[in-house]
Amino acid sequence: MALKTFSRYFWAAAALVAVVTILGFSYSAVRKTQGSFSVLLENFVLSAVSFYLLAFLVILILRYAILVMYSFMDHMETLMKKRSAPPPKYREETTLPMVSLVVPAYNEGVVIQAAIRSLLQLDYPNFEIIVIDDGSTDDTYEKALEVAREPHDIPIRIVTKRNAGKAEALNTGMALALGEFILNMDGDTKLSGNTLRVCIRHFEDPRVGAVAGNVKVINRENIWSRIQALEYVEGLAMARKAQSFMRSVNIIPGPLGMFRKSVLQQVGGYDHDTFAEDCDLTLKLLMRGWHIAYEPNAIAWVETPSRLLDLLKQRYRWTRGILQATSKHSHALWQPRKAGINCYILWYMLFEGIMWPFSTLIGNIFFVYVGITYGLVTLLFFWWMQLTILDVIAAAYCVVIEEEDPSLILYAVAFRLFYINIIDISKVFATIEEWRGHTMTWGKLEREGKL
Amino acid sequence: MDLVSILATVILVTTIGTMIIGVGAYMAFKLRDKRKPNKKRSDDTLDAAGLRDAIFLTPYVHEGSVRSEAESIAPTAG
Repeated sequence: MALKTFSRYFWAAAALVAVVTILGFSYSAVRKTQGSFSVLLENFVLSAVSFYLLAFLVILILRYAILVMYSFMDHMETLMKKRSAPPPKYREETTLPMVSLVVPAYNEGVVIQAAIRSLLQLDYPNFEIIVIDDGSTDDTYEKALEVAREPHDIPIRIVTKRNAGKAEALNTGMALALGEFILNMDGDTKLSGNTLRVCIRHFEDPRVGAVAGNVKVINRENIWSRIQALEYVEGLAMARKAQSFMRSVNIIPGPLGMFRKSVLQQVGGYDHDTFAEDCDLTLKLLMRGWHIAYEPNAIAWVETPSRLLDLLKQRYRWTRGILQATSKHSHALWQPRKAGINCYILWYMLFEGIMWPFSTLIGNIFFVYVGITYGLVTLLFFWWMQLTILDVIAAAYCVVIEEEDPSLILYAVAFRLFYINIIDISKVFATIEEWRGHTMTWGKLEREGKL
Repeated sequence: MDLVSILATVILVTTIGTMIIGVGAYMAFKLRDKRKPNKKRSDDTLDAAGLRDAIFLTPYVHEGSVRSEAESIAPTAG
């Protein structure tokens, strides 16, 4: 632990020394020139930031272009497969294997009954439901029991245990599961009726260890939740589809992920040491060489935070959790030959988690400073405009591919205008706190029962 | 003032405003988390440390048998 802290501060000190050295070299150059030192130093720093932002913009445009291209190729591949698919193994009613649905629930009393009832409606002949009450302090257990006691054909087991976190609850579900396949979901999630049928087909390929589902926002009631709906559509239709083309989805979402039970057991289930256990598990599967597919037709409807502070709480946890998971597998960052595509996946996650929020924040501060000091406000406008154009193009593409509500495209402007500025600040603080090793709690979101 | 300048001023004001709101909202969220820990339900099965004792480990004693035992002891004591 002490060594880790030392190493962290050592690298920070090394970075500081590097910056001071560069500034020191520039100082000798500056002294030889005419004019005020402070003015020249300011110009030097502004030029350095300009070059950095230019490089960031190039990476960002490449990122959008590559993701759109790969996601489109994945879309075409899916369409081609539909036309020329051989008779599938997992399509006959009699050959469909048993699936265990594991529903971890902590204080989900408001939504748990609706969630279980929606599971009973799933179109699949052979499945069981296991609800793990993770020591809820509300009436989750009692409410789940009420539904389990109602007459139906699907076996439901309700298990209660001491509160030990979601990872532990999912591991308990894994241990109790009777099925050859396990579908892990959240207690506040509603699944589309065809989820099990469309997910199970991917396992005909023996290299596929898990399938990630498509997550959509159900409570599109105000601007916060509508922008999140667009974010989810973009994140899934573009990023996850592109990753699916490479069979390397980097996060199997908590609300919907199906696994081979044997694979879950092979990697030891979920670990407790991160706040993004789904991301950590996905990375573990990828490091073991398993392929992870994405199924756009398996939809999990989730309730997103509709208040700003709840949203910040969620994003804070996600950011720190993803950084923790990336840090756990950081050995692959420096082994491109050994880790293969996983190396690039980790760099991509670091770009999204650290470089992107820091860069947009630096860009905003830089252009605001230049705008106020030199009266070049139009530069800020063009900076904002080019980012917004990228967002709108990506949103339009994703809305078309996902056959979503076209009005969501308009929210791309609001997304860039204020939403992402606020979220990025929270991400930057979360990154700094993670780096400094601040303690954190799970941060359970209050549910409103919109399912 | 042309359209670009007007839009640029709007973006400038919005960017400064959202950055201030972003920092304020982050501090508010941290403050709220510190002030309001998760409410615990008053639960009879929790012990002093807040841990739940498994009910099946507690020996069950029927109320009637306790009462009859007390009654059988009472005349002797009196």
